[in-house]
Amino acid sequence: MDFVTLILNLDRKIIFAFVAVLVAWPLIWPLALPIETTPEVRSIFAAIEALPNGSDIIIAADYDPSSKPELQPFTYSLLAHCFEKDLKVHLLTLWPGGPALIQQAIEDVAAQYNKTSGTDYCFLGYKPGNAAVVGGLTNSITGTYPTDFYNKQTATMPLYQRVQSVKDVKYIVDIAAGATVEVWIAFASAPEKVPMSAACTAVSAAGYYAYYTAGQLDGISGGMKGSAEYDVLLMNNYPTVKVGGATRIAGNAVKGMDAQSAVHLFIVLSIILANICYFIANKRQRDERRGA
Amino acid sequence: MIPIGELIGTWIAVGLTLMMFSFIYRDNPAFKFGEHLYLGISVGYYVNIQYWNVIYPLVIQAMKQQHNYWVLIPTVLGIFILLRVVPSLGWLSRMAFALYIGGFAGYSIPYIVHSLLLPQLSQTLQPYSGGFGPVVNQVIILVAVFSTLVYFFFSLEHRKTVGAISRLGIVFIMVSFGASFGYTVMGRISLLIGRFQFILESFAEGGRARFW
Repeated sequence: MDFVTLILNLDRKIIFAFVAVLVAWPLIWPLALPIETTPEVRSIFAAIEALPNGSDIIIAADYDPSSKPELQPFTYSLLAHCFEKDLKVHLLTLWPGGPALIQQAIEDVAAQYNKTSGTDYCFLGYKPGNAAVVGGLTNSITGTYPTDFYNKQTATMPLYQRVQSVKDVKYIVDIAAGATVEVWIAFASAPEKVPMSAACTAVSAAGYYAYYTAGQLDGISGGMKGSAEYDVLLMNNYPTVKVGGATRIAGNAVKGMDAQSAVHLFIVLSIILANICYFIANKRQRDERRGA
Repeated sequence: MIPIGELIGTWIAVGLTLMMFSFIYRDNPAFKFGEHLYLGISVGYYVNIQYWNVIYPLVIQAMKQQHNYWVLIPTVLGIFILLRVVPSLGWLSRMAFALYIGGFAGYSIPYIVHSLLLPQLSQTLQPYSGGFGPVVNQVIILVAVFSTLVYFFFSLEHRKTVGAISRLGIVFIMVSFGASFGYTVMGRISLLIGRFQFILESFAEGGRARFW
């Protein structure tokens, strides 16, 4: 069997084995490849950076464990960024699978910054009904969420003595694994004129560029790459942010990017090689037919 | 010392991850076990979440504590939707669906038009300004939108001029699919990296799956 035939009939398990090695190797022995930040992610960081200290921000973490590697690092970094700037965080989710992940993130980061629930942040929990919930928040946050995730009355919290609805909030970030970004734009950001950004899974990132170019989103973070960029911006601007260690506030996405780059290079080379072999095989068949 | 519950939980998670990965080799009983376990636990988890976040606070608590019996109306309509599984009573679900679809359409259409459709339309029809680069971008966007719309216009036969424009539309659609596919590959690899990170960190120094 010659090389061309071998490549075209390659058992897919061999490709899987290569991918497994290329993922594991950089995770065990990091390559420390540089991570360039893009204008889309820098815009999110700049928008948060421009908020006055003590401002209120809504973070909608609309994802579940199937998107954890892509979006959970962004949640950690964004929460750390908000607490570095002493922003008041209103955290919620429209996804039923989200609360456990968000609880883990907010409790880790809040403990790191000595922030108190009800005063510095509030985890409102999950509520079904996407558009109805977001629309409800534009009327009253405590009316839509009478109790928080821990079943405490929101109306009596210090945080909600001055914040009534989305109108009183300075910024919205939707960390989304699905189509909730459009819900937040349509029912909260655009009608109430509250600027917003989105961090989404890589699969949905391409679709949201239309809202970014139209100025309806200040910035977009797509997948693990976007999360890694935000990690880099945060660590460059706030060197005190804890990296590594038991709580791992920032830097999780950065760790995965070496593996991401290695596998992408392998896929690109495989596509080129397979196409060359395909065309050579085709040419051979044509030549054989002519010969016959 | 790692808490025993966390230790056992991590070992179970690592084991189940490896069971799911075993499908790469071929379908096998370990994969089937993991798959069924995942489905069963997911259903149980979501039923639990929906009960404690929706039915208990919005229906049971509302009636018991606030004596708000109006919530019975949407509750009954919700039960009507479930009656689709009973053929003789399936017709009742249409009432609930009619109310839901009609109400939601009336609520959302003005928002969608005002906040999504019109801003996107105005962005497509921006005046040509801002230098060479932005003007080129603007022309590309306009041509792409027009040719893609022509491709999806089926009342004219796609021949001659219409055919040429629709073929251009296909090119733009393919570019869009290519970008989405590239992102999709990145997303899937990220999931794999996430699992590998979990496994490697569980067994690393100080990891949660180590006995020693």
